[in-house]
Amino acid sequence: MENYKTRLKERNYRFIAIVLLACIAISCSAPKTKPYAEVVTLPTEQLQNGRILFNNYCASCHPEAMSGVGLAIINKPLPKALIKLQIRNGIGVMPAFNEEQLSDEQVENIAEYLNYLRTNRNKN
Amino acid sequence: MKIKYVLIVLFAILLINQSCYRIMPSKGGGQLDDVPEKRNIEPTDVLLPDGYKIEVVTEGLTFPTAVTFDEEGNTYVIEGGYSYGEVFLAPKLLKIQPDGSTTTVYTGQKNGPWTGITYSKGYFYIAEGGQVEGGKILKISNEGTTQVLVEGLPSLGDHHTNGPVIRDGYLYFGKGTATNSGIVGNDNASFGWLYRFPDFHDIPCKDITINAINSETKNVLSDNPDDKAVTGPFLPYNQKAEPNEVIKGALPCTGAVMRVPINGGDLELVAWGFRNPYGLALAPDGQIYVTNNSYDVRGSRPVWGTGDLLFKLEQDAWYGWPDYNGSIAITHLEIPGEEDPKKILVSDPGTPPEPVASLGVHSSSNGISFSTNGEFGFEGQAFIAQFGDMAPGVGKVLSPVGYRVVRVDVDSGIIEDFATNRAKKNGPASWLETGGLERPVSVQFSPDGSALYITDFGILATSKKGANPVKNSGVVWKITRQD
Repeated sequence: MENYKTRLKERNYRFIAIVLLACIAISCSAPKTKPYAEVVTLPTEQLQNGRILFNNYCASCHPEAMSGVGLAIINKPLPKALIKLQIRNGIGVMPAFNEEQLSDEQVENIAEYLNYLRTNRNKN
Repeated sequence: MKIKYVLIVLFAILLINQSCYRIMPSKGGGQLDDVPEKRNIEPTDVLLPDGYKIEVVTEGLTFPTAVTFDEEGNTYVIEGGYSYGEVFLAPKLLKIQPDGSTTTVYTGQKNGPWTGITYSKGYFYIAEGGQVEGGKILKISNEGTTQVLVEGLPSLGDHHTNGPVIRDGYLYFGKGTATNSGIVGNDNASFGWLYRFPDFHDIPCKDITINAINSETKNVLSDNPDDKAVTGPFLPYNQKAEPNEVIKGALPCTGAVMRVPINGGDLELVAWGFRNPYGLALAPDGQIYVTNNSYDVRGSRPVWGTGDLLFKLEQDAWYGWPDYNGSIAITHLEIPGEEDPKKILVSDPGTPPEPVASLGVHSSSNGISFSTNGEFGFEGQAFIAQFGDMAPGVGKVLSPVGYRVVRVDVDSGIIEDFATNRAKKNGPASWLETGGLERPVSVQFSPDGSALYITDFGILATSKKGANPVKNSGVVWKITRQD
């Protein structure tokens, strides 16, 4: 029984290590997306606002949502909640944007735009 | 339960993402393992929106920086005559023949880089960078006679005399700063100029009062390896600033846009507080727009994470250097693992205007031209040439930045690619090992607005040791509508 528990623990540690390594590999390797020159037409006002806000607040570090000083941000399957968490809390070297700089609605618009871009640009 | 694990994994990815910046090496587009001696050129390697085509106008140029056109439709290009990496050559004004060959119209002194050119009524107007004798504005006739409209501009440092653009009988030009963020440091020795001009420093356009922000470094000008240099802002190397010290303003100054009558006359200040106002262009509504290269993570006062900016030029405005990037105080920008920069100015000379657009950090967004022809498309938008990052010397990038031409909607600030390399990643052709764009340094629409000319500086490799430019690798490209 003791041996079984030890083996289970080892398996768990191994699993966690593999997941962690996989996360590092996903996060830190090839953080790019393809260049894109086509004219982008957005179907909703929310997306259009999101694009303007993204350009004014985010694009200098993530030009065209690609990697620059910051990482590419449309090549990972991050849900909107985590994108918004990142914008508000600025985890790591990214600065946080508080309510005075960006309202909740504006953060929502940016997250919506990034998700749209990830789905549609990568498809193209 | 399954969703919970997925969220944990995604959150882990997010957290690890944030650690990547510190652990990943710089991957700038100029950081080449092998610097090619010759350039491969293949127009089909350039990605454009549907309905446009690109062709080579001329190639084999050495450090070309800009094109212009005369009233007869002839096209001219200037070779800069200087490149980072301390390569000094004679700058040249070349006429491009219809077959792509070139003939020399005028050869300048070794006081480059010539950074820009414009043409009006029989005269070429050239911004002479001034790395050796100081900046000049040259007026050259079709016959090759020369008049110097302005000389002695303080251009001996990091950034040069730029522009020019003509409006209402005046020639407007930019003058970059001597340093990255106000303090002469050992990064300026790496550029080379500190050894040539040890007393050179930034000059404000109007009186300012400074805080005693002094930087202590190894004294690279001393034979004693233990000697230290203590340097304050707007002062020569190894000269300490005192609290509330007043620095007298002067004209000409650094970090400014100035103007002079095209037929000669007094120099006038238009606006100041720029870092490196590289590109100036006249918009269809008659306004002048300016691209401003932002701070680097180098020297005695490194600044992190500031994107290049596009501004509308406002008479008498102060644009924020050395304490702001646009309207954002750089003292709020934490450098990863280091201290924030300290504020230099005791009181701000004004409120910096909001930028029109924020471009990529280290993108080196330089030459600018406006579309004026509905048949070409994007009428009223600004097209900007992005020379590309100079990492690692200017700071770390996780992937190449720039190396393309973008278009900017000046009403909304939206930036989109117009001409970029066709590849799985962004970067210069030499880095991608293709035949596309290398380092676009300026763009210029033809007088009728039907064609966009891109001046591509050529291969410029970078490393911690400095820049390594490749001669004869410059190209002029032309983009037109296909239909």
